Amino acid sequence: MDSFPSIFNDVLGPVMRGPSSSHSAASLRIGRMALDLMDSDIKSVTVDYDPNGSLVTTHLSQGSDLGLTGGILGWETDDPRLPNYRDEVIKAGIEINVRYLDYGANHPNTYQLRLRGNQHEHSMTAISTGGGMIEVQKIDDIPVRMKGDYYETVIFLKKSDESLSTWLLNDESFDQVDFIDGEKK
Amino acid sequence: MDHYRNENGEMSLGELGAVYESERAGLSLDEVRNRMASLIKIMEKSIQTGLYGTHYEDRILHSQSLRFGDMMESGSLVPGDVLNRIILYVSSMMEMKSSMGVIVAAPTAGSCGALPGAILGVSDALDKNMDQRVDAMFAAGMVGVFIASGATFAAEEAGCMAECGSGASMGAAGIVLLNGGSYRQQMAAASMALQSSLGMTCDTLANRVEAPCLGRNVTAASNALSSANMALADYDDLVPLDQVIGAMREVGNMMPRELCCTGLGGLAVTQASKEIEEKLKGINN
Repeated sequence: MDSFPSIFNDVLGPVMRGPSSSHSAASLRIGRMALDLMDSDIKSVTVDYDPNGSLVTTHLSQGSDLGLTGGILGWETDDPRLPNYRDEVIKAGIEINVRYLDYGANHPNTYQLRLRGNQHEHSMTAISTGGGMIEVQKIDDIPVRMKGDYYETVIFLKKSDESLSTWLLNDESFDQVDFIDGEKK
Repeated sequence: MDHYRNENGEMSLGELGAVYESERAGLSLDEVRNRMASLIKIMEKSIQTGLYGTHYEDRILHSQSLRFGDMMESGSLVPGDVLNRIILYVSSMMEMKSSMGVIVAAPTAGSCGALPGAILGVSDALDKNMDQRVDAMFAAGMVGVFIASGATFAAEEAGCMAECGSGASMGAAGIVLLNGGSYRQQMAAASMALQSSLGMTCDTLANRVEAPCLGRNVTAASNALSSANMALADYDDLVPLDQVIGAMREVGNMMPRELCCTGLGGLAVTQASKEIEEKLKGINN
């Protein structure tokens, strides 16, 4: 959903470790979103960076790998284990593959993730928009807009269900309800 | 925001920032002010810790702020007490960052020195209490909200003006508030500091976020101080902040990707940068 920046989360934050907030902190938040999407069940991650963007040349030296790994391990942006992320992810038995792939990314900081666990498999595309801010743009190729600053529940339906839609729209406990048509891939 | 001020009385940018965050988060004014105070304590601790010297092998620059501090104490630098203190704080914060210490990305990690260094440097020089520091940080935060929603903090989108330029603009508003300037002067300072930052490249050496980041953070903090003093003396900013932010967005769109944090242009492709990159590879292997 659309929202205005938060002074604490986005402007004078996050409290963090690492070289760059748009790399280290944003990728950590993207990793945390992926971990939530997978219900904390991640065995392997493939991340694709587009050579037309900025991440192919900077993901290692500016901390995208560090942050993304920390996020997938469920850490906070200031976790003292972050400098040792390489050892920690091996200990956790999670495999992370980085690929450079021209997939026509329309933002310089695009992370295209393929996530596999024991029970689940999902894809997720997210961008880092500066200062640690992020936006998840696709889940399983279905367009979404999630900045990670609200509790959001994603419900996948095989076909549209009018009674469920009506109930969701009439329930005032939700701030916002969106319906998105799309094919899960 | 001007509309809100007209309806709710003469509030400073700092008070408006606190109201904004409290409304957005659903927290009381006291709660958001306390939270800002703890953020400031984290910043102050980072600066103080950095001044004891930091150690980390895999970086370009070692602790340089120690010698600066010694020379400042002994009067061996060109005088400029507030500015020199700001330079010291900015350097210390950047050294904490490059040693993987805890910092606040204010507004970003690459620009984590400029705004805290400027506001806390002036706060210490003028002996301001925590309440006044909180107000100044909320003023800075409010300017940051305008920039993040009207333009960007991402150097990948708009070069270093998005990071250090934003920090300068935010810091300028905070300094005016610390010195008792009006709301108009706070906004003018933010506008002038951002005007002087447009088009700044992001072309980091060896693809690290250390240099020229350190110098640009120091420059941004100096810009914040200068713009604040100009605004306090009622210098005319001519272009209102929202229009400067619009111009910033446009300039960002015109900037080639080679100069937007890709390591493909400017200082990043100098001979010195390549040599530093090779040297760092040796440390990693």
